[in-house]
Amino acid sequence: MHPRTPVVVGIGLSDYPRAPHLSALGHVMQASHRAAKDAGITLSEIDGFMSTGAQGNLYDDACTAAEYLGLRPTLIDGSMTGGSAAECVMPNAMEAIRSGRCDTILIAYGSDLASNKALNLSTGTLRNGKLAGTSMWDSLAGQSIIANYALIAKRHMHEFGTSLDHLTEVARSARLHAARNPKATLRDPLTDEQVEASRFLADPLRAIDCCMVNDGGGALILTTWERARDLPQRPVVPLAAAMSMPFWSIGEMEDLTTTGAAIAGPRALAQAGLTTDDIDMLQIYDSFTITPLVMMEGLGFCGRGEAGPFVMDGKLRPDGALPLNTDGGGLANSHPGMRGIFLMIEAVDQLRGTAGERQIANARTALACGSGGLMSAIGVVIFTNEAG
Amino acid sequence: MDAATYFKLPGHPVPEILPEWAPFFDGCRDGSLRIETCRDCGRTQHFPRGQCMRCGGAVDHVAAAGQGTIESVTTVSYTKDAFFRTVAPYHYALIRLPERVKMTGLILGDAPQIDERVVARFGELSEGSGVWGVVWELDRG
Repeated sequence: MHPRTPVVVGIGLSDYPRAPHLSALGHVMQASHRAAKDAGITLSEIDGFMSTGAQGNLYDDACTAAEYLGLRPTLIDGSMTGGSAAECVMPNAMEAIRSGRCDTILIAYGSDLASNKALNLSTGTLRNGKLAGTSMWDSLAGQSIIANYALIAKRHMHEFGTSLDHLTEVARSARLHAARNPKATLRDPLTDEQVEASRFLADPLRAIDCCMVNDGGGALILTTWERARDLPQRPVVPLAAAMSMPFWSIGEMEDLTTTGAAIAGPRALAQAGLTTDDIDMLQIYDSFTITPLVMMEGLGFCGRGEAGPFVMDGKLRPDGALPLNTDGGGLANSHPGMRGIFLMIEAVDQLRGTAGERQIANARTALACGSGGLMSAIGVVIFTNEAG
Repeated sequence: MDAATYFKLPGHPVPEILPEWAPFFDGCRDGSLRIETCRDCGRTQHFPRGQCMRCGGAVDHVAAAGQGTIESVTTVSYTKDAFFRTVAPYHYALIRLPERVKMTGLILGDAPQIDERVVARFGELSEGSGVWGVVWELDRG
């Protein structure tokens, strides 16, 4: 291992799912200190800070968050690709550590959306009582986040015969993982009655197809292999990372069932020198049940349009061949607004072998795939615990 | 509900119109769907940018046929928006235009299906707002 190989040495979660005692910035800070403690360092060692900032009533950016934490970074990356931001900055973070530009990078996020009821699920941004910004074009037509994802799901069903049962399997699987996670929010199995009773919010998406909204934050610390040797945790190495953003708003999506996962996934796998067969578990942003299905197709785990039937053998479940979202995901564990950082935190916890009841046995590799916007900006990171 | 009824509903949200966007909304007032077309490379784009996003060329605002095909559509039953709550359940769609652009649109009428044809209807976004917009009706004639 090269002495400057990037290594994850610390992870931390802030209090969730309800934390009325914390602001969004408070979540960033609590998660960051917990990650530092986990890594056996203090935040004074951080010289690179990457963050979407804090998501709440106010939108506090990376600079505000860095100052709030008392950091003095020589590298700031506030890339705002939504729920994939933590994955999308990873190529930059890894490069900065390899090149010597930074020694220790903190990636952090926090949100108080649930306590502040601040999440705007509908029309977009209002300024002086008017719809503002380019999202206005879709807002005038009655868009919502759910409705946009529903357009993708409906088209996927139309083209490939994907069914509600296929979507339901993703939701069922998430609950089974959550059952093994004492901190998860929805730990009971999804019953047939609940599935039947779940109403369409924007067809074909039902309430059970949608992620939750809670408070929470997460942080992850990267440093060099050389430094990591003196630190307490089993090193987890990000082997490769790539991102792709072929569009941002739904109107610019060339094909409703094709995403940047088809670009970022193969690039990351090629960089890592791996194929999909080498991946032991998936952490894919499950904003809605349709999202991991479309992502798995793009990443190459199954053919285009095949994800529905592909998951019906239970392979995504805890005892399946390809466990998905082993903490319960955004559908059943935690989704504070932008889930990207939590995908990587769970991958690291699993590969350390410290995931407790939900530990997947003998896992050596994990793939995290963040999806930001409307499956618009995709970030893929591949981790291993095998120090080659 | 037809378009005439829709445009009589009070409280429709109105946009903050940037300089590059004004020709589109002026077009709606004139009953035409204006799509930016590059004078240099001939390519079309929507939403409007005031200059060609591909080559930087100047654009003309060309009246489109005002027709489209549904690429995907969802019936929205749940929304937190004060106006759209009064319209729900309503149909939100991605519409492909023969002018080689796509746009999202609200479709009036019963159970629109993928691949069905729709036509543009124009009106003032609530009386007195001073902003004209577009909704779509099914073309089942």
